[in-house]
Amino acid sequence: MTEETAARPASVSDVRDVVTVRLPADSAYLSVLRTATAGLAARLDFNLDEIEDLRIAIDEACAMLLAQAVPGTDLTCEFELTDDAMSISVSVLTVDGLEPSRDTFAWTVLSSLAGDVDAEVGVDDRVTIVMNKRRGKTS
Amino acid sequence: MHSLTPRVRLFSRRLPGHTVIAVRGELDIATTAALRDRILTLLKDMTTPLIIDLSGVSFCDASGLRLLVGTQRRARLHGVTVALAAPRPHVRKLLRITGLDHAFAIHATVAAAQRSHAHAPHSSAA
Repeated sequence: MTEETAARPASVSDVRDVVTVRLPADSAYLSVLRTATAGLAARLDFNLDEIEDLRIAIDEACAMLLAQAVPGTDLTCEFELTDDAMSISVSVLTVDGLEPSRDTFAWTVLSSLAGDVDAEVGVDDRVTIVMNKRRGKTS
Repeated sequence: MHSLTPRVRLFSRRLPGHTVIAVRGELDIATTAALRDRILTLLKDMTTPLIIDLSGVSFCDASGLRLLVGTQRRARLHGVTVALAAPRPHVRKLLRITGLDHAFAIHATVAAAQRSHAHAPHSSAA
């Protein structure tokens, strides 16, 4: 797992706090990603309930993507942290280039817990799920 | 890499009039397949109600929910009823979000589930 942090000084008014986590597209690493997500959410003072929502949401998003990931590639997660929200973008190169089905338990759970959720397919069949979770807003 | 696989454990107790399966650990796509196989094996010769003790489940996602639904579906084929016991708040939340709280009998404790579902010992010879 590689982790890159690009954080500018907080004094800069347009501060953009972004953490990128890249890990093998393999379900064995999901628990690691959940832990990283919880750590970042705690940094933004999300409460325990919200942190658990985020742990489940990131897990669901990744599980959907792993189902069609090209074997041997990486899953990329970009976390953008703002004052009161976390925007997470998860993407992977896929075999089929299909948006996740929205008629599943997984999508129901994801959309209920993550706040705003959307999915898109890129030109190279890279599928991305984007979610935005605001602090202090009950799901 | 294999050491990264989150551990999950299953304990089963066959008692007079019912069986309790306790799941401990994390339920996700990395762990549910093995659990499913073990539960299906246990169901094969089960004749009395099954209580699934979820008190030790520290993480659950939709794959965990699918495991529960699949277990219930298979159990019904054997005429076995399934009740859930002691889910932690977030597992209960997922059951509610997905509407599965209407599909399962859910009890706050294993003891409460036993009171509602266990067959009396003398009637368990089915």
